[in-house]
Amino acid sequence: MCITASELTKRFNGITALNGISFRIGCGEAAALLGPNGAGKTTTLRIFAGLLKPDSGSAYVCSFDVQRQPREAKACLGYLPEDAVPFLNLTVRENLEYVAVLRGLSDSVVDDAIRLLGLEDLADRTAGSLSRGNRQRLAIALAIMHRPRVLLLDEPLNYLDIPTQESVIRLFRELNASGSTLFVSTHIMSIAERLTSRVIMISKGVIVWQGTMDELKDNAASAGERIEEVVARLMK
Amino acid sequence: MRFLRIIYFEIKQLYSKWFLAILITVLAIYAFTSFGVGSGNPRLILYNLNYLIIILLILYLSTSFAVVRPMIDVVFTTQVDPVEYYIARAIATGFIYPIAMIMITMPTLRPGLDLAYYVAILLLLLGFLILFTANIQLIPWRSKILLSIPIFVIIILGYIKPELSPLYGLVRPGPIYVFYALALLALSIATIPRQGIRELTTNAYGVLGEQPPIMPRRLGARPIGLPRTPWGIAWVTSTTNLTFMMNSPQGSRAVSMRINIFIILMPLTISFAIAYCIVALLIHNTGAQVFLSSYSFYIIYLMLYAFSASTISYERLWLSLSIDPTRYFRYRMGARTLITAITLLPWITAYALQGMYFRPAVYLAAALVSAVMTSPVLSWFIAAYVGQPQVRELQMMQRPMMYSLRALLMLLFIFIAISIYMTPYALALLAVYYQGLAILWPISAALTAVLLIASAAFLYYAVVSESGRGMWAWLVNRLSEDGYV
Repeated sequence: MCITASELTKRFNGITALNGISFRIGCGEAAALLGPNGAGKTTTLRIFAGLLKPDSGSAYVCSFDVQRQPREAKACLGYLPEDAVPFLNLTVRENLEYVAVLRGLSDSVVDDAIRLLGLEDLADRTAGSLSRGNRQRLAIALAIMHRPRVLLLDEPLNYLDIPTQESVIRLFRELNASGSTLFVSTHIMSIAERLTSRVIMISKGVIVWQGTMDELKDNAASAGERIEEVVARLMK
Repeated sequence: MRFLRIIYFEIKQLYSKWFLAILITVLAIYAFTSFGVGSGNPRLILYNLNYLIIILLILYLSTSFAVVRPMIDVVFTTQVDPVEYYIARAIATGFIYPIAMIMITMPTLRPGLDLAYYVAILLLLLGFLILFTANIQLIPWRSKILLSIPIFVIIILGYIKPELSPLYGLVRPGPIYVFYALALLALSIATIPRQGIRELTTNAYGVLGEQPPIMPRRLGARPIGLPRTPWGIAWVTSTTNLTFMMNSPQGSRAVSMRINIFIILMPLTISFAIAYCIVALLIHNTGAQVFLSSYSFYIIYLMLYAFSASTISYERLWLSLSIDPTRYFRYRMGARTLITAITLLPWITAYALQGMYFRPAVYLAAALVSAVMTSPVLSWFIAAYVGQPQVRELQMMQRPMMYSLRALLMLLFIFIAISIYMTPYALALLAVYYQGLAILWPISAALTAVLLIASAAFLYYAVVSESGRGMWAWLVNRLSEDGYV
């Protein structure tokens, strides 16, 4: 298993964000984390990224406990936060070079990442001068440049124009096909459908449904509903 | 190699080439011109070193936040050793220290064994100052005060008994000072908040993001409801907001709470002003009175600008300026000016009282009144011009504050302004020292009156007059360009 949640619980000032959720995602799988606003999706991803400590329970990435073996776990994962902020005072290229240094990668990955995200024309511009969409492209490049075994994506297509959305979806699919595990938090069903084959649905901090995307589609077909309507019903 | 490259990229984020080039040029000119003076007057060099450390401490502790958003979104998601990264960033943040310290102490250099001692002391002291500053930045308030004591002791020793200051080793190098500096470096390494750093890298959103419930009654803030008038809202939101680090069972946390700022500020300013009055009463030497009064004014003035400017980072343009930006800024500046006046009233009183037996101090009281009328407005314009980043989620800046050419220009502006404010005081001092220059007393008084009238006119233009609309429009535009939303 590449991602394992075991009885994860997290409270913020007495409000339960996660209430003992457990699930497993196998290596090479692509799973979507769906849920309404405030369901605990971002909290779950932050726990797996090693940026938030659960009150109880454990989170494992590549079989490493993210709290007890954070460096091993972080070497294995790439994380794209929602509204990610790169180094705004550095250029696009310097951002990538810096992360290559932090991750102990050779400089050749920098050019690869620039090419993959189509950042050639922006390479010498400071990140602070980029539009929000181009900044998101840079953030994606920073998250994938080391070809992580596990990729945690929080609303990955935010701010991107339609052509870029298509190329980014293609990129994520290629990464998944080459063995990377995708764990995507989103509230847009069409993105989940195109990127993942499995669904974990949470609401008010508990898992309300999990299964394959095909099962979800079958449920919709048998009920004569759109997939979004089925999801909305399950989340209530 | 990796460590050095991390330092390189952090320096690139913090300093512009122009800033470094001009800083080095200015300090090189200083070193060149003071070659003749320095070797014969080590105390002067030491005073300059002390002064440099005070300025850098105010600069670092007020403007350069220890944690910025890209650290969490990018650095802490990588496998980099958190302590290694922390030290690299501390070195980058304190990059001005080695440049300035070398330039200031260069005139005292002598070849031979002294040079070897000098290099050793310099490296060890740099390590101490850089790490210690970073440690103070990162730890909670309670420990901050405790950890600041060694720095304060070093600064005070530099003035009252220079030979006991470790900085003296840079002007009169010797083996004892090498051990002294080594001990200080060991202290700074021992006080690296390793646990806090590790917690930050594995629980950043917990440490920085979790806000405790508001405890309004105990802290003197309104529990619910805001006043219904624009002035009332501007006043309450200006006086009941504060962000600070506090201890919790899980470690240190950045907390933004509704606290009446007067509960924090007034005890501080009143106690320091009383202590100042007592010290001033006990001193009979005119030279000591000059040193005490001018130095304290300098520090108050710099701190006033540094802290007053920092609050702009918490502004939300889309919300605050949605109706009428000029009206909003006028109310906000009115509230800020009143807060500054109340907070500095103990110091204005202290200088006025000192003026009863050391007459020039009266002019510092008047200068402070002028500063109260101008600094709340000017500090925000300076911050916007320099490009001070906005604080958004997690009470963090979106990017580190960059030391640029603009920052240098604004620093120059602040020093020119303080020189103007202190001119009546300086003229009064001349009159004290040279009886024949008694004519300077009325000139000082007239100049003070001019400064007070000019400051009041500026305040009227910015806060009351409709014709100040243009300057607020500039500020809104500038903040938008700085990425404020």
